Amino acid sequence: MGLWPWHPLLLSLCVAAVATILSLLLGVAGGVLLSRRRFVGRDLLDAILCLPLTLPPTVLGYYLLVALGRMSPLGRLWEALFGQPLSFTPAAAVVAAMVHGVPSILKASRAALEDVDPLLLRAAASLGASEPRRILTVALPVARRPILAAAMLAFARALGDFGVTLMIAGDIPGYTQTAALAIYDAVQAGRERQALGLIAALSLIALSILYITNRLSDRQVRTSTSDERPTREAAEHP
Amino acid sequence: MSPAASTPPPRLLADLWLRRRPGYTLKIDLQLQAGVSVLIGPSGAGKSTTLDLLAGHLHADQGMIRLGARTLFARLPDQRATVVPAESRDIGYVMQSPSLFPHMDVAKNIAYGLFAQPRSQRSARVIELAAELDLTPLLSRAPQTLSGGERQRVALARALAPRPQALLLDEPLSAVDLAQRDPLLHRLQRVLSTLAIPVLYVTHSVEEQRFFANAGSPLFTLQAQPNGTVAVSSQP
Repeated sequence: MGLWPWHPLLLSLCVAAVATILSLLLGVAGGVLLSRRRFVGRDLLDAILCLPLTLPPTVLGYYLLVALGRMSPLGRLWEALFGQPLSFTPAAAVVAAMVHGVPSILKASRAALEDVDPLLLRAAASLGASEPRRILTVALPVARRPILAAAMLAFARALGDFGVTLMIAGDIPGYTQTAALAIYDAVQAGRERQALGLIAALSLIALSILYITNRLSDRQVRTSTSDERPTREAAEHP
Repeated sequence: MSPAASTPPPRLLADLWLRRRPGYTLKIDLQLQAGVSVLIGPSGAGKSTTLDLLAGHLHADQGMIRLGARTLFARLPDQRATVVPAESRDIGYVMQSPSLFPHMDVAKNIAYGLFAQPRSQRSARVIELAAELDLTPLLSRAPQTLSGGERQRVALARALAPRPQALLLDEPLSAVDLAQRDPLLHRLQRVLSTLAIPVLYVTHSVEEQRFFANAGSPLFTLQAQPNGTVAVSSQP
């Protein structure tokens, strides 16, 4: 094929990185909204937003093709802005990778934000902080570890997406062919060495991410226990 | 430490009525002058609820709160309600648990309410308060490493930093080791007596109440009335 054999891996890493950053922004915004505001249909909205976590990739890919295809308003808007359709481009691969990223980060950040001690937020309010300031300077920093852990997992998950990417970004070598798709093609075509190389690389990256994520949650456990057992200092000076 | 008092010191007036559930009604009638006033009552009777109402973390069914010339809360029959949110009330609140921000060191905790001020003024205010409350050696420490008494002093410094127009303290010594209580009480009294604002000190400790009464603080009590309501008033 004459293509650089590591191109799919590089594309996967870029797609996963961009998708994770965008998922983090959208997911945290959604988590803030769902944890801070009570409104009619909040739990229904949460359920709809998390539906992608359970549906098969073919269903999700089909929805996305309909929602973002050339006939849809969103697809037309994209084409007007960027001069080319969204489907079957690397940008579509980013969208495919966000399908799981947004809901998983949203779930994690909603739970993490609801866990933040409400007294901390009251203290901040009594110190003159408006609600956006309380969220940015108290709630999110206090909840940062589980949110970051969810983002790491979203990155690992994005790296391995196959079905949705295939449905809306296609499998165009050198353009939209991510590592997961390239492995499939390589195996089908009997290119064992390329397949094995990509498989080893993906496995290693995923393993390191999971290891780092565990370390992150470990540290969280350690700080919260030290919270409960404060080191008593020597008697105070009156 | 308080700004030069060219305007008369503010008074905090509250006349509130809250029904939490059938059979529990809280009636509050408070007139606080500048200086320390003590509110005493049994545990669970509604002392913290009273402070939450004044601070704006909870809203009464009916009544009004006035601080100096400002109306912070007004909900009266046949009138449009005024509810100033907690962040705009200029009321400092030291809660029963110090609730320091765990992701900030002591200096950043104290400086939290000073976000609107330039950096130089912020750090000057932090240094001033740290000196007054003996926190200078602790400024770079994490809240998790402090003792109960130290945490409570940081919480007080943090509440005083933005120069509130009134200060509420909810049993500030309850989370403090017995051995540290006495010195901390004397220090609190010394710092609070220099403030030219209304200070409401809530406690269920008879000793603390006596201590402030000896210093001339007016006493308010929270007690159950025969008709089932709980009332805060100046009657002993």
